[in-house]
Amino acid sequence: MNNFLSFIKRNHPLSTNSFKELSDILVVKNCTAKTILSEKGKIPQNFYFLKSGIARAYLINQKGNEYTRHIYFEGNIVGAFVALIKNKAALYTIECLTDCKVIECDYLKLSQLSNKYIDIAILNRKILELLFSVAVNRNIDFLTLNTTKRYLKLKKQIPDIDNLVSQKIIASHLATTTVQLSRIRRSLL
Amino acid sequence: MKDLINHINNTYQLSETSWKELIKLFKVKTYPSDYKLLEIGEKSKYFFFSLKGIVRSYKLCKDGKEFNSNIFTEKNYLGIFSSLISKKPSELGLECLTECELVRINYDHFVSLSDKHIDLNILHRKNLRAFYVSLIMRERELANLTSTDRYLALKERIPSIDNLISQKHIASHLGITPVQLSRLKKDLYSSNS
Repeated sequence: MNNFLSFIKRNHPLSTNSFKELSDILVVKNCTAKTILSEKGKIPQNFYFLKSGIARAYLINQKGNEYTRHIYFEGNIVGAFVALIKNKAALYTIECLTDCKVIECDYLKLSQLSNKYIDIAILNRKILELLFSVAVNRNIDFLTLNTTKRYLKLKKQIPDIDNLVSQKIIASHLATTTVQLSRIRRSLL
Repeated sequence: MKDLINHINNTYQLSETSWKELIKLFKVKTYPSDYKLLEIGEKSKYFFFSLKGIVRSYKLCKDGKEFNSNIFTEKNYLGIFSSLISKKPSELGLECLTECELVRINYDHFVSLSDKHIDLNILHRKNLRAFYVSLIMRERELANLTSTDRYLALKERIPSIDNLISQKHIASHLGITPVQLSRLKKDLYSSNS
């Protein structure tokens, strides 16, 4: 559990008792590529800590195009949080793009633990703040950067991105088409 | 202040002790239109609850173009939470678009309180969750909707938006120019009639 432990330590260290209580609601799972962690149209119950592998959250928009909201890498928190928060059917599907090792956490059980133990409550808040910051930045990028600049920013964050996931997924993450993406990549050569 | 108290009661029932501590952090202030609650590059210290008036958060690009990342309406919390959380200088500014009556709350003081009292922590978590939901909705609009559909979504959220703030600010919320906005509205209303 080492990158998970350091994730907790970095965000908010827990007392021995709280850590034990938290561990009791966690399940380590090995998922093969294409495993669905959370499915569009279903009310999710869990979220995940991605120990290794790559996953993504995507939907099919009104125009019939795939839109990849998020590409997750190891150390990321993965989940259909809007649906978890509202206890409603998810709008996004979350799937493993490679074999993944995840730590599964029951969202409701974590909320219950957070209502009992203040250190778990603080950790829970910090996780929410992390998700929040990512969402804010993504919105600002959409508003202020064109597709080329968004692609360059993605490359800067994950230099190896072109080898890790398909061009189709990168394009759908940038809200563009593969044809336009390949044009952008050519123009940057 | 009644609106904020109602908002909190609707979110989570607090103990009397927590209420007493929390209310000490509230400061009601009136700000004129165009007042900058936070300058770009400044560290954010406060968040607010709007009792009256509309506020925008905006970003200034290198080429001088302005974008409104959010338009905050009455009876809602507002602030540059990214800077509050990271404690880094804010990429965004916060400006009153109308005269505003706001409740000002020091974020660090609020967080220290909520780390002591579990009911305040739950309240905080619920507020953050609600805010997160609105961010993801906005992302879906920005990534998947045309500017016309984004305009319609804004109208649905704030029906009187065209009378409340300038066309310039609406356009910059949609990520388009005022000229494009006026063309869009003309097309929209002529095709409806």
